[in-house]
Amino acid sequence: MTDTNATLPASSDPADRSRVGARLLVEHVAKTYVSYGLWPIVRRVPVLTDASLEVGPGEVAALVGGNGSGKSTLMMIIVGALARNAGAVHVEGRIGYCPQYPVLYEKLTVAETFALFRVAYGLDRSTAATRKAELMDTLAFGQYDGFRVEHLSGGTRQKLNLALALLHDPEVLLLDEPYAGFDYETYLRFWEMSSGIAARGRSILIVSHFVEDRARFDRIYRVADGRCERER
Amino acid sequence: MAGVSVSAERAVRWTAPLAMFVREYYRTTLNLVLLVVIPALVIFAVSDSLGRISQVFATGLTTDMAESMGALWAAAFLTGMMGFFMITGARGADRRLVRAGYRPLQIVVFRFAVIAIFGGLATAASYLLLLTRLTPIDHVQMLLVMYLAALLYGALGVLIGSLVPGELEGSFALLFFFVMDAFIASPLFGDPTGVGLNLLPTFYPTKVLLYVTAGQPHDSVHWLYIGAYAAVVGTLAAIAFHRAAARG
Repeated sequence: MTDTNATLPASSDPADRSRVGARLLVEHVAKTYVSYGLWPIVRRVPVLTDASLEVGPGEVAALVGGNGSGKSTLMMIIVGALARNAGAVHVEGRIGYCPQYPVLYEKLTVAETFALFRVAYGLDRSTAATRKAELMDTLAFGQYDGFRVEHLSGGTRQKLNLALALLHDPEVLLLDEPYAGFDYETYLRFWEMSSGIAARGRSILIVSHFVEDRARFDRIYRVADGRCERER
Repeated sequence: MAGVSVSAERAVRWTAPLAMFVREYYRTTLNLVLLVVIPALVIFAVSDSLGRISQVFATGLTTDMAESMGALWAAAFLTGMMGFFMITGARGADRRLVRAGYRPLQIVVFRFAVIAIFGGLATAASYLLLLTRLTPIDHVQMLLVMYLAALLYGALGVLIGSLVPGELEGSFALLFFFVMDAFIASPLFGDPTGVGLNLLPTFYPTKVLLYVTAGQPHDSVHWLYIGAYAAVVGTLAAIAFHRAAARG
């Protein structure tokens, strides 16, 4: 297991981890945002005080909660994009992260974007080509391969955003509202694809607002008052 | 064969982002327009005004000198803005690339390489326009000092882009800094002797440029100052950008 924020000590007991068999384990994570106003005004906003969760191999877990509850903050901490103040995060295997909003190079084409991330992930050409074809087919945006990102619609950008997170077939998938902007057909295809990924033993954690998605999750965690409580 | 394939993939790991970042730049039409407009504006319009002001204040600044300064400022300003907007425009995507497997230091190297390439292009564009106005005595030294000023500002753009979170605030900061630097540190209003003026980025490049334009000998230690200044600003910019990229 790797700690996505190695600057902080891992506080978990390895025996517990092996008992749980979790591929993603988050323990007692705390995060306070600090913003500096006109001196000496310092504003501290505690977003997470004691957030813990776990996702095992083959599981699809949901992270739910109101706006500003700290779901995206927790996601970014798990990915390592944000430093935490306390707690530990353990991830077994590679992470695929789909941010809430598309984070892409606007002037590159879809094909160039895939090519760049293929190299970044260290994938060989044939594997990447197969994965790319599968993802474009499943998410139905193959016709935009030669289009620049800046010319894509919001939904197609989101498809590319998601496809990049999946390109290297990661063991742990962290998806922050991945289907925002998808049409209904693509939304259904997304769930079909997610089930297939989980069936191959991958772990998926999804930030979701949709009540109708509840039946699709093996675990549901609700983020509220700085804590992360398991609902199911 | 496998060895060749592995080394080819290693090479691609270095060339692919560089090629993509270069594409990003030239696909921004405004960048290409500014490459012509800014040098033309600064050299043709502003330099004439500077020449007239100089005559009024009797600073000894000739029209040739004013036009040379204009070319240097144009190259520096263009590269500085390019460095700034390159960093701020791709901040999130660069961080994503780091998460995907690139080291932050590699992204720093790629971005600085792009600045070196387009700093050269901005210098070349400014110099070509300058050639329509005067015949420099020493092409090599003039090009070199302009290119160094461009690189200096490119690094400053990266530094400000990495430290200032907002695009608007950052671009104002860079513009304000440039205006202060270009006018206060320049010899337009006499030989600048104020405390700390020689710490402004184009102080020594401008000094060298004016001597070279006039065909006069100059103190070679000024080149050393320019090099040292560029090294310090470049290092600070690299550290700031590295921290920003690694945060992702």
